[in-house]
Amino acid sequence: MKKFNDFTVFIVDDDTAVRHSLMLMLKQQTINVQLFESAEQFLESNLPYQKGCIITDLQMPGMDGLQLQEVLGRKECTLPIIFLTGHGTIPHSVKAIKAGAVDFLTKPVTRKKLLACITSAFDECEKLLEAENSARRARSLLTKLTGREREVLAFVVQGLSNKEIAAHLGISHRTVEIHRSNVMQKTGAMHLLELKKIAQESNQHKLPH
Amino acid sequence: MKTKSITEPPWDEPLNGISFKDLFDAVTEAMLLVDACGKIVMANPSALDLCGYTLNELRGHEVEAFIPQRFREHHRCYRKQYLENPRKRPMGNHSNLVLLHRDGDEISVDISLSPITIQQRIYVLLVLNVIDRRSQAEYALRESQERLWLIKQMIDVGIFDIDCVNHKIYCDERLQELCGNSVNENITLNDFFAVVHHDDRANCQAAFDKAINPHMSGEYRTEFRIMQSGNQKERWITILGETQFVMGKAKRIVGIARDITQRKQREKMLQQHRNETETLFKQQVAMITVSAIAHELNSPLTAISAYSEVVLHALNETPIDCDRAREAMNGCFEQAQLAGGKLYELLNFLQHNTAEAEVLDLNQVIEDALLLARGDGYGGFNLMLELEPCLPAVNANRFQIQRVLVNLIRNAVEAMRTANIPVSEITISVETLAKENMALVSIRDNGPGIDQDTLKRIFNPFFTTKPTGLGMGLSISRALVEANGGRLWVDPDFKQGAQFHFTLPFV
Repeated sequence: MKKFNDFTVFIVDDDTAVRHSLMLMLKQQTINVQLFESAEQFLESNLPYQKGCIITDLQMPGMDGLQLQEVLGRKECTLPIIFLTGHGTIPHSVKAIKAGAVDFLTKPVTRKKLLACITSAFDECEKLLEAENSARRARSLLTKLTGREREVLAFVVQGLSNKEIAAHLGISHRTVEIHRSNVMQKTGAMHLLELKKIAQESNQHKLPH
Repeated sequence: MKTKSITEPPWDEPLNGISFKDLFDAVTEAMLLVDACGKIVMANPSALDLCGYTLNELRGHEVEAFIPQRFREHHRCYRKQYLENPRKRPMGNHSNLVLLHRDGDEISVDISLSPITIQQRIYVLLVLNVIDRRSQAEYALRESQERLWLIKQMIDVGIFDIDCVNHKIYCDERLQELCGNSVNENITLNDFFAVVHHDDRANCQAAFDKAINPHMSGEYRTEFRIMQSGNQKERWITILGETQFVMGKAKRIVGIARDITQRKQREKMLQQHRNETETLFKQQVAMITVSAIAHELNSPLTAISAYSEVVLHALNETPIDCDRAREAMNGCFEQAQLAGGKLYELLNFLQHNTAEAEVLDLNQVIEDALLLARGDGYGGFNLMLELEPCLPAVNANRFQIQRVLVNLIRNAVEAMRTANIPVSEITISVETLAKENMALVSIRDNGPGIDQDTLKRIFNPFFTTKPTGLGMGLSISRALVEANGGRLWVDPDFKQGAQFHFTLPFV
């Protein structure tokens, strides 16, 4: 777990003893833990861009686990969710997994299973964050472009020739060439392939939630 | 009247002085002489006798005046036709006439007609002969039999007539047919009961005994199956009759029998559906109950499990992490206590819904339960009731005790059915336990009994030997009896089947 030093597990469960016992268990693994006694409390704490994962009870008084997942999805939160449930009914799990839950654990859960789940949730989180970063980087590169340059870029990544682009935009072949070389310069792309990658990353939707 | 002997020579002489009128008045047959207009000219004393009028009242009137209104017009036509071609017409040729007696009675007569010409005028002599009473009675009987037959056809019933003194039964054709043509028209009652399915024979006999009991209503009403030869479907018959008592003794039972196989099949299907629905419902109840328990216990169990693993992990560390182990052990202890407390809370909650006790006649409750069990499709056994007639009332909830009894009867019937016991028997006895001031109810069957292994677990929840059972029946029954202040147990030493006992406190 060394690798995940700056990762945190957010435990959301209405039962004090469950929260406490799981916290002791994770502390033994030197995993950072934060406890919340309800979904509402977790949302109020307003944690931006945290690294880690959420372990939440499915059934809680007030907002339940599925509702929490939905709200987080809308907030474009990057934290993967592990559901803990007393009666892991199939319709519930299907719904949760379709919405991107990494795992579904039935209570009482063993240390082995829990740690395995947390590890894969952290991996998932890291992947998401990386994708998010590259998208952000790509988007920031593209902000330097003028409107016309962006139009040209859109045609270029579709594989259109300068001549075709000129025809589409109703400008001269020469002007397209200038725009194109500006785009390459501003994004720092060495060739067409690299340019395509940047455009793709910038378009990437943020989260599976 | 005119016979051959009259025309023989020795008789000619004295006949010479006899007038038509003398003869007319002498004959025993009723005679009327009617003119061409249909007016009565003469009537002899026999005729006057027959219709109750005097000669003066008849004479000069149309003959139609003395027949019922409804025949008059037709008769006038008939008379006209006759006069167009008058000829002798003898009696007994469907020439019936209905005569109206002075006091309003209608008299059926046969008539013969003979035209007579007197001074070139045509008259008709009517000879009336009262239709003999026996043939009239036979006719009426024929009519009534035909009517009965038509009605029987229409409502499709068979008819029986039991001679209670000689123990014989008359079965009409339809009833013979209903019985699979294995009985004759006149057989002994025993022969009749022999075609009744052996499972229903006892019931059938009991209904008969009840019907001939002069202290009861005398209604003979029962339903039974007919023994079928070969692989035919079973046939259900219902009979309904009424006993005639003479001097306080049953003499005769007359009644009808009907085929109710279709109705029974429908009922059976409905019952099956009901049973399936009930099973589903029970499973749901069990599911919800177990879910409630699981929900209450899951959190403490989750914590205990996690705490325990924390302790194990702490013990494996070097040096042993005593503080953390202590903290986790403490959590374990608290959570185990909490779980226990939650369980008691749940039980207390469920026990709050106890039903109210009332003053009960146990004998009556037993009879009601037997009816309920039969209605649920758990009948078809020979029943021995050993009830105590003067049993004091008990203090218990009627529906709970009924439920317990139905449950025990169901178990017995199912066990005997599964084991294919040829003549299944259930004995229910009630006695007084004076020392404890309790009533003791015992239910035993002649089924396969209960093996040692099952005996130990038979009252455990979810323990069952039936393929579709839920295994809650006996544990619930025991809880219900205990809730009413009694005990329920199984007799481990009873070897001829299974025997259950339960007690209930007297008021």
